[in-house]
Amino acid sequence: MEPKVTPHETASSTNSIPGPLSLVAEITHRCPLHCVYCSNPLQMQSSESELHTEEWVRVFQQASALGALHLHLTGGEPLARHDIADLVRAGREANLYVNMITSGLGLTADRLRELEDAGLEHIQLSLQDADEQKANEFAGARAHARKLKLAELIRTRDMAFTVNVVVHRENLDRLEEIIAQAESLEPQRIEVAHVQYYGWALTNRDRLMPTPSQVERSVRLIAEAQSRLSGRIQLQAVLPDYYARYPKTCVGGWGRQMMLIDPSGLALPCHAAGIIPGLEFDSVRRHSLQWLWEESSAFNRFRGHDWMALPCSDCDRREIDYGGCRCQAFQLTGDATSTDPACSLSDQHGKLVAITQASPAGNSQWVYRILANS
Amino acid sequence: MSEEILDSRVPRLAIGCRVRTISADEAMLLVPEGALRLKGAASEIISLIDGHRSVDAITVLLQQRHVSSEASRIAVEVKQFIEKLHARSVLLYKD
Repeated sequence: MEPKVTPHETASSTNSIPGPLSLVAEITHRCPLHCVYCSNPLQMQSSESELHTEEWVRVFQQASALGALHLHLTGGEPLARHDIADLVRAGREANLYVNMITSGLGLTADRLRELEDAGLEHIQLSLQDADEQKANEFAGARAHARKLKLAELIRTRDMAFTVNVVVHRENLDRLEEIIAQAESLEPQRIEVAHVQYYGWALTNRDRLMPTPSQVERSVRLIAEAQSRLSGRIQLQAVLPDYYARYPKTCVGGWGRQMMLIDPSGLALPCHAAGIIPGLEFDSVRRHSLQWLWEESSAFNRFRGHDWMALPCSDCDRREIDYGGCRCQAFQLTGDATSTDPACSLSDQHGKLVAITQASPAGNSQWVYRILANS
Repeated sequence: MSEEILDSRVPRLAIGCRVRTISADEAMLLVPEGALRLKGAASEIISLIDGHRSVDAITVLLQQRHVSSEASRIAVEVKQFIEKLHARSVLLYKD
């Protein structure tokens, strides 16, 4: 449903590689929440290694020159950075559309006004559940009640407001209540995303993986809510690719649309790329974004389709999903060049089906996202 | 009698949507989580949506600018374009 543009030639580049459309800036890995499905890597960056304000400003300017349109300020919790308003302003001054993805913790009325004045255009607030006790359990923090209060503040400000909810086995039975609660916060958009199994979510997969009937029900409930809310709130859904016939077009294709900079300045083609052995990531502290995007080995490793093996290399969908997710292929098959097992054409697809049909892991304990663990 | 249906509604960009001008006949409409590339007529129409002009006023202005084009075709184009963006919740009508 979302309007999207295709990658485009950039004015600054004579190279034939179209520039990125969006820059994901993981400005810190510090976070007051400890969500059991956090997409951050298990090995996180310490606050000492974080890029300084002026380094981020340079990154935003270079991203814009390269053709990027959107800046997504994320983390960790972006509000953990004291210079967050300066970073928002720098993004706007670089002519980028500035979005911030937040838990809301650390946000006050004054701070929100400061962000609005700096030019923040879109804020995404996460909810973990409609049930307070469960929400706090998944987040590993008492955060839910505060988030609901913050939503009241946010909707009075001049910025787009999205409520994000991650769904999984342990909250899907309350999906109707979750959508109703998100709706009551009066955002412009609601995103209901099934957990994607990377990082901490992979660690907790046994407890998070929904049952087939939960998934089926969620698809129906989401479709009903979409038609009910049409014209009022845009409801977007991310379905679990473990249940898909074809893999997702992960990050829009490797090195095609998205560039992620981690807190220490490493440039990655996706959130989870660090898990793939043999990939080397270069830093914005030593290279320009243009070099990182066009020349660095990490961004070129799975660009195009020369790296593909069968069945991808002969597949007429190879320019649609680009073989799916490289990280997932590695995680589930041990080979990052294999077809994403989410694809029904993969000879490893059965492994994935088996995971979705495994019985619930009754008493396994949550592994919480903790910086000190890494 | 004119076949035109009057449309005095005033469109405005939805909250969190912004136009970024690329060149004289090209613009990007930036929205949360996406962007629309607008060229030629679409780029011209979006530049006239300011939260004050009605759909009719925009149509008349474009008809005056492009006297060599068929007036009724311009009216249809404006209406269709605005409706398309409205359906995507990118444009709203002012109360």
